[in-house]
Amino acid sequence: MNYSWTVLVLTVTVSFNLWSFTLNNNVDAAFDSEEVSINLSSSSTCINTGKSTSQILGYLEKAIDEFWNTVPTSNLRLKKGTLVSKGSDFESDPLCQGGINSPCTPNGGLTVSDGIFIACNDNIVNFASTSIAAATLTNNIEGTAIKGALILLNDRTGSQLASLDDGAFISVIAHEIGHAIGLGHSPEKENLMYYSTVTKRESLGWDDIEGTTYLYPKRDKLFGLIGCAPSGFAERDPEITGEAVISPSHLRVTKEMEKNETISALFSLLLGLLAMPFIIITLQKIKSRK
Amino acid sequence: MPITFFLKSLCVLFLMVLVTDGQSKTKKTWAYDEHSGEAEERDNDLDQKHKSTYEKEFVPYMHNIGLGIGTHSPFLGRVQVDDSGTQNGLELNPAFTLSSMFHLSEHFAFTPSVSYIYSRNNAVDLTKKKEFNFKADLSLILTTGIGPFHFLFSPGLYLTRISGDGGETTLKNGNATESFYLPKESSTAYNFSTGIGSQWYPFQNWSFKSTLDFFNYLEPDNLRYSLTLTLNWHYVDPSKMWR
Repeated sequence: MNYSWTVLVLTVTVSFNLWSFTLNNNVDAAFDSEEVSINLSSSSTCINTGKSTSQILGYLEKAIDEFWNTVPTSNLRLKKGTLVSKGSDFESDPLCQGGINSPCTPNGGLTVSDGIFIACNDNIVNFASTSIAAATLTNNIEGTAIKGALILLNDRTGSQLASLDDGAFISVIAHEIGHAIGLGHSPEKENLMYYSTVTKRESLGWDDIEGTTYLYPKRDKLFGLIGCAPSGFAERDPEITGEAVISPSHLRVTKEMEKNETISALFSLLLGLLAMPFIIITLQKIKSRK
Repeated sequence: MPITFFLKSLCVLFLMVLVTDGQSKTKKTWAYDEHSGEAEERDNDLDQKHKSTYEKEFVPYMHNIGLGIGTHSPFLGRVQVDDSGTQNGLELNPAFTLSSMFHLSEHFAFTPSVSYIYSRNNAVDLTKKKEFNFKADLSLILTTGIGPFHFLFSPGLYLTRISGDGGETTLKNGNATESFYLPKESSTAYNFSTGIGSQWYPFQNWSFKSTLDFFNYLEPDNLRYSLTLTLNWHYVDPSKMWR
């Protein structure tokens, strides 16, 4: 499996004429839970980021509520966690073994067992430049399910994170969370997943929304009640019925299954729409006879 | 919260009016039974006439089939469109609609429709997005001097399908470049929406329709709006259609 390690820089230099969200791994991996907790290292001093851990927790909450939990077409719900102690390695060790190469071989000592973990880190291999704000790696993937991801904030002396205002700091954390949930960079500046900070970041762009929708598609509960729960899901996991407990990664299916699922859903809906007038007419006729 | 309350109230109001609309006709018929003698016979005749008129006018029938074209603006004011923080407004995403209308009573109609929305980004995007929208509108019909005017209560289901062909693309990453992966499967999101709208028939065969759909209407803090505007042509010939 190949996956990219990703960083965010604090300058704006280029743009491309190509629109698309991208992924940071080649297996379309996503968290297999609809609710993902994000914790912050309690042992991080974060001195050179210019922010305290309690401030960073506050930014984390805004990054979740103002960006990733706002996608109407996505089931993903991120949750602000707490301060968690995981050891000093997270503050000093490199993200990848043998330096930053592509593809990155994750440093096994920094594996995150569950959810997303944020730490301040001052390793020069991770942050060759003070203009690099943060680095993220989904370093625990099983099959197509992300189990854990690590976000490191640049805590080197002279880190330009310290010069960011609250809004920019929040967007840096939000950008890194985007990588942690499986998204790669977007080529367009209006998207949060653009590789660099921009003048002002208010909300997600279309690439961000579509990428989140692709990895964590919304399945409104009522959909199962009208008989349109796709049959393909039951074949993949016979223990699961309906749609309520199916995890997002299971929802992404092969193109053939997706085709069958869509046809099945459209057919069911069409039948439902056609049947409704007949039901109404029949009820009206019964009523008029009475 | 007020919007959620408003939508729920609107739904309840529509249902109440629909029910009372039918009941008032029935009461009118029963009133004739209170008379007696010749008057009763005449009134019974009137009752029969009224009843036949009632059945003729108010038995539901398919009134028309419509084809529409317009534009769809999703999640108004909540998507960033440039690097200075500007949010999206009205967009030109073509929407194609097929609809039909069934009269339920003098003042109400049921108008199911299906729409296909073409995302303009598809032309330049490596991933493809297709949107289908199924609606089950309930119309309150008002007759005005400038043609029939429908107020719509508009529950619906949106299907958003995103797919890609896989592959890689090279993008900036920090101070260097990196290969990022493109989606290679497809994924469909299902969203229930509820909405309000209006439809104006300035001519018998033409109508303008506007619908404001609400997403996440059970989460007031996370409410999103989408606006659809369409121009519709209707095939209207009740005498030749199923009734």
